[in-house]
Amino acid sequence: MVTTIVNNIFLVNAPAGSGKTTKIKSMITSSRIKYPNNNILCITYTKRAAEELKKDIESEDIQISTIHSFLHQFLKIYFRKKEIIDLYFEIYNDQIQKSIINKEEKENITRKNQKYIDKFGDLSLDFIKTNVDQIYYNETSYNHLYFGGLSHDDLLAFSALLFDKFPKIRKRVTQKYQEIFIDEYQDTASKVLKMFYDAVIESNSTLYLLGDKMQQIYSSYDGTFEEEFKTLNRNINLETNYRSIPDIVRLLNNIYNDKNYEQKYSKENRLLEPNHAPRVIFTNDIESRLELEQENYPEALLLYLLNQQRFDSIGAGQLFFHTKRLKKYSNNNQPSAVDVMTDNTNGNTDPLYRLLFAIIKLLTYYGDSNLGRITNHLRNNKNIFNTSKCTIASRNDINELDESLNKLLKEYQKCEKIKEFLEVIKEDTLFNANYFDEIDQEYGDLLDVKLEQFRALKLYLDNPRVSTQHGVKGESHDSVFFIAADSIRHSPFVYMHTFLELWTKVDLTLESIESFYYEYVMWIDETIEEIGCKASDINSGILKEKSEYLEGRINELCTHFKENPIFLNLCVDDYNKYLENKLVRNIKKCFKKNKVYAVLSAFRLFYVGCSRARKNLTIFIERSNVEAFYDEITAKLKNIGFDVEDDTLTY
Amino acid sequence: MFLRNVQIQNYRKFQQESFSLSNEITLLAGANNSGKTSLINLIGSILDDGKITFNISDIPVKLTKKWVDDIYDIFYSILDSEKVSAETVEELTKKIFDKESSNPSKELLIPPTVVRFIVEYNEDDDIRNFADFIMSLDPKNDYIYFEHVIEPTYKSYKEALTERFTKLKQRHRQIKITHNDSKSLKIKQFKDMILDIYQASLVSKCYYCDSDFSDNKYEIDTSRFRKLFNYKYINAGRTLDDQTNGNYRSLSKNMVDLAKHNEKFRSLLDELPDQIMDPIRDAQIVDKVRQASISGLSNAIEAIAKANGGNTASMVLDIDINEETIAPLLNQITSTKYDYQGHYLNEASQGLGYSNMIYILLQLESYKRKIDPLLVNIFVIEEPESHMHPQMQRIFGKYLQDYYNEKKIQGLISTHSAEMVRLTELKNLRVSRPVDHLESKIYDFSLFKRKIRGDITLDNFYDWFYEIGFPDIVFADRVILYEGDTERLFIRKLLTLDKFYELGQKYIAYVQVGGAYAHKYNEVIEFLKIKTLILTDLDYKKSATTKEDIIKSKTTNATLNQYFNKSKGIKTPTVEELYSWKENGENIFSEGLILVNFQGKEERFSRTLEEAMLAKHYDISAVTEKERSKWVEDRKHDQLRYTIPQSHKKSETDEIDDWELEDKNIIQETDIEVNNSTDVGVTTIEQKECIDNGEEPSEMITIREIVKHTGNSKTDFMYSVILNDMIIRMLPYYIEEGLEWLQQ
Repeated sequence: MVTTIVNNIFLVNAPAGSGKTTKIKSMITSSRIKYPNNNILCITYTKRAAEELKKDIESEDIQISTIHSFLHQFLKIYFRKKEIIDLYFEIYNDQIQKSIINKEEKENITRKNQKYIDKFGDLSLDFIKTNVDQIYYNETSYNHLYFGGLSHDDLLAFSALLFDKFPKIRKRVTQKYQEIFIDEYQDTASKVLKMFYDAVIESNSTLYLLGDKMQQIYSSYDGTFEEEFKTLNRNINLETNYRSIPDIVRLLNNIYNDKNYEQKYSKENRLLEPNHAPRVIFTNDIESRLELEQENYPEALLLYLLNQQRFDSIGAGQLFFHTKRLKKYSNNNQPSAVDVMTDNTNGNTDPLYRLLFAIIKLLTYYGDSNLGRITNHLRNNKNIFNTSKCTIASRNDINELDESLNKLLKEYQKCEKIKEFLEVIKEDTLFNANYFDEIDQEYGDLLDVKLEQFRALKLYLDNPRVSTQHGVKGESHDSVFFIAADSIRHSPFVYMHTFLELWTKVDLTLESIESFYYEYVMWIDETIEEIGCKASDINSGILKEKSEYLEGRINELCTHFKENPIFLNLCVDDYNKYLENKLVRNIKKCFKKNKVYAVLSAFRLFYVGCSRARKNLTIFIERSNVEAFYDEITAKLKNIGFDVEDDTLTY
Repeated sequence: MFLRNVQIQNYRKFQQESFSLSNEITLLAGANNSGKTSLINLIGSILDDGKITFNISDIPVKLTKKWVDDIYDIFYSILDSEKVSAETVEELTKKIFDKESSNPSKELLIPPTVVRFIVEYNEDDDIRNFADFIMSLDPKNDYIYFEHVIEPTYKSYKEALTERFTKLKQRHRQIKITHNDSKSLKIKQFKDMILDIYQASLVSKCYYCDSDFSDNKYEIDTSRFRKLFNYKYINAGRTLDDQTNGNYRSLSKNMVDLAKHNEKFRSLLDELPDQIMDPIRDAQIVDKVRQASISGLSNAIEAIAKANGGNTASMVLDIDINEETIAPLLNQITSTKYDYQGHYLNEASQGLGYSNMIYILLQLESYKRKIDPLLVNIFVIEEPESHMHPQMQRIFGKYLQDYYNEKKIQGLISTHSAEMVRLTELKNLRVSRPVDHLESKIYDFSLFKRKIRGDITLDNFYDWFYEIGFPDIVFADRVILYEGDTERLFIRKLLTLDKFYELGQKYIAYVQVGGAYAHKYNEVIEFLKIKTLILTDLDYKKSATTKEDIIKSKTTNATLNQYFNKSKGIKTPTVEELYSWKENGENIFSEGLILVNFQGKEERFSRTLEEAMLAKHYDISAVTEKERSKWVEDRKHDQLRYTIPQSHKKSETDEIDDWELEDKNIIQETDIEVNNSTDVGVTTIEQKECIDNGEEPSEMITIREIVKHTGNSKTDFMYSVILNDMIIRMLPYYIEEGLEWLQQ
């Protein structure tokens, strides 16, 4: 089939360092000059990215927001309409019914149901129907279906449904916006891409999808937009890498291994002299080697794979560990634990961090003896601070404030645990006592963490020099120390060493792994659907019953992929093992999609890690982990363009 | 995009009115004081500058009065409770907004003043600015609904109350301490203060809404709402500066402004500053100025500079000419003149009407260049006919129509000119009419047009009639449909009587109709709810001369036949039936809007107005015989001009006046009942009949015969009645009754 290219929908591929943000800004500016009446919508992945763009752009005609906030704002005018509420119940009827009946007698559901009855005196589908007069976005990870509350994910799903079902709504998007930018398309849910694609394709508006598949972080995108991707107009290209020196750009091109994404280097960067060629260091003691290297390059960015490692390295590991374990941050939702730990504005949604950051800021102003900023700060955080302290009417007021702040500073420096600090300041009239109610029981373990850890976090934020590939995206550093390791126990899973091994055997491209992955996942999903229960629920009975089906299915799969090197290297063993010995344990292993994804992630992260360096790039790899294919990986890396050093040989 | 519909609630005389706007010009016609100007002002202030000066008096007085009477006790008793003032303010505000109960309909507020705007768009429109406000999900609904509300909010009310609390409290105390007659005055003052507070608390808010304007609505900034419209307004009350200060340049200014839109002129304007600068430089003007002024000052400056520590910078003169400074210069030096056969005449020379017209055209022309396809463009002209005579109104009105149509500008024109109404298509006409002193209504003729659409004859009738009597009806308070010219003369005179003073004050449309068509007016009368008197004649067969014959005789009057048929289902009623129809009051139609009146029993068998008048005057029936000589005598005495039929004796011909002779000739030519084959110039039918019968004509003559012979000189007859001040004496009962009914 020949795919026709859609003229008004662009895929702007923007590899690392290609100046995507600058490009968006310049496209917006050009458009404003050429078409001053155009309305522009710019969807960013994070609130922070939205803020970043808004810094330079201030116009009523340009809306910059995250997909959630845009959809909510755009659609809320319908949320009280009967046809919409009817649709809501059409979709969620079964879920609500199931939850009311609570067949499995789940305790949290029993509690939820009782709470509803206590409040309204009744609980039935019909009763709920009469009680819900509007639906809303509850800005959490869970639906509040009894009340019409939609979670993050369901807001997207429900919006997609509205776009599909009501042409008026779909049309309204393009009637209003003549240009639409979607940043980080690779992390945008397929249904969202589809929504905009369908809306724009029937209009005169223009849609730009900007991003880089290589930099996909979240698994929101599930591969169901691949067909449409093929129809996109790719006439706008960002070919120049403005960040790195030619050596690194070449290296990146070699890793990408795809002509379509080949980058040129900029004139300016050609003049930069690196202190050393890009290198890989195999070592058996990464920590000590790192210390050594840091002495030579004190400004270098430490790039960890995992946030835990990152926060460990700055002395706030416990803080991260317990924050991550708060229920609201346990999923991969926004804001994440990292978000609340690094957002020192008063837009921080976490009550504890907002409080601590507000105190820090207050103490900073106090340190500067800047009374104006102190009172202003107090006023801007009315919910935290006692408003009566904001107005300074006499000399006496100043003295009192000074006394309070002095005391606060001492406690901040002195207190051992966060809990202790909170208890002291709670009594202080400077604070609004009610505020502390927000920091509820769930925070128990987190409050037991030492305040020292927060002080360390503060120092780090003043001058961040440690990151993960996930963090500080887009930033560049002269020197980067990239610690290539696995993440096996916690999500996100990254099998760095499996990737490296595969790399020595297969000429990998992103395209090849991705397309295999999407196809393979679809195969697994279909198979599991046929079996009729979750992969984790498979037992010997079911296995026996479906044995014949499975065998046929597996043979089909193995034949289909018999030439696919990725399958042969990563997956085929699992299937053979099952066919030899049909155990539940073995089949479960076959159905783990994570394995391929974790290798795919490793490939991406390896690339992104490398791309972050402007001049000097060093990758640290634990030698023991690559022992089995040491020679091959050394050869591969040299071939890519690295100097390879093995300190187990020299030291 | 078009502004499709405007609805007004609770504003001045309008309780709940709406009208649609056409794609081209919509004419809002109405007599003075029908509320059209205040309506346009309100719309204008919302769409144009947002400077809405809104007073409590803009809320219909019925509503404010009811509210303040209802709320009085609550205010009085809460103020009586002598709590701390802050608490009282809180309590009063809560009471009014009914914060305690969750049912918002229990708010004790005056129904708000609401203006709703419905905008229509179509497939091809670029609605980028409007897309946010589309709430309908129905693919066939291409409307956007806005609502502008003026009402207090909790906050604004509390604020207003707080500010005026002391005064309110004082007036409350006044009531308590006053125990004499002036207590009611004190109460009134207290109520006035309550209303003052209400007025101060009023705020404007704008919403976009669902198609049913339900509570599912969302606020938008009033300024944002305004930005959706490109609204231009020319005011009837504008003072053309020609009028006041002798500065005849209002047109010139507009001319220069207009030229600025022209590319060539603009580029010329860009170069002009430099071209002007050169001669100024060449003439060393700056230097000369410097010598003349600065040098003279230099000593003083030096001295001061020294005192100042020598820090004062020296003065330099610089000349800069740019585009902004050129424009006023051009305005100052340009003047529009009229070239009349080589003589240049200034602006004022052509009269206000002409200047007014040119002014409007210039404004339109400059507006046309500012049309923005992304907005709703609407141009409002208030009473463009000002200072123009009817002929000019017609020509200009036509031109305006064509202009709007050609340029595709949506326009609203208010007018009280019948000429303008005449020019407008029925479907584009809206009429504002007062119902009484407190209430006006707007009648949307696009609805009327739709209503009669099924009936082709009716449709044609209105298209035709539209050009004729229609415009008058639109402005009128009352309508009189009549059949003959004499009725009109007579009634006009009657309305100068004290008895009909009130009716005389009203604007009455006189519409002359043929009997067969009177009932066709029902539609428009009912539509406009306008009280209408239809005066017609009993018109039974003339040959019936005895009581028995007469009451059995059937009327030939089409109007009566139509209306009687309508009420009774009988097509040709007898006189007897008509008499009792009238006595029973069954001749009233359209829920009391229409009275069909004609000669009744009191008129003693009269079948026309003239018969009835003479019957009243001479106190005899229309068929009572009276000697010819007596008639001659009476006519002389009364100085009335009617024709007494000729006697067969020639000797009496000299009694016929010259004017009667002339008239008779006319009768012969026009009256269809005259047998043209008769060669005797002055023979009448009566005589002819007599001659045919071979009998001698009787010397006895009835009113019937007199009137018949008076024929087309009825007008002279009526003149003689009026000039001899006989109208009261000759006022037939059915006319009096009809006018009294109309006056009520």
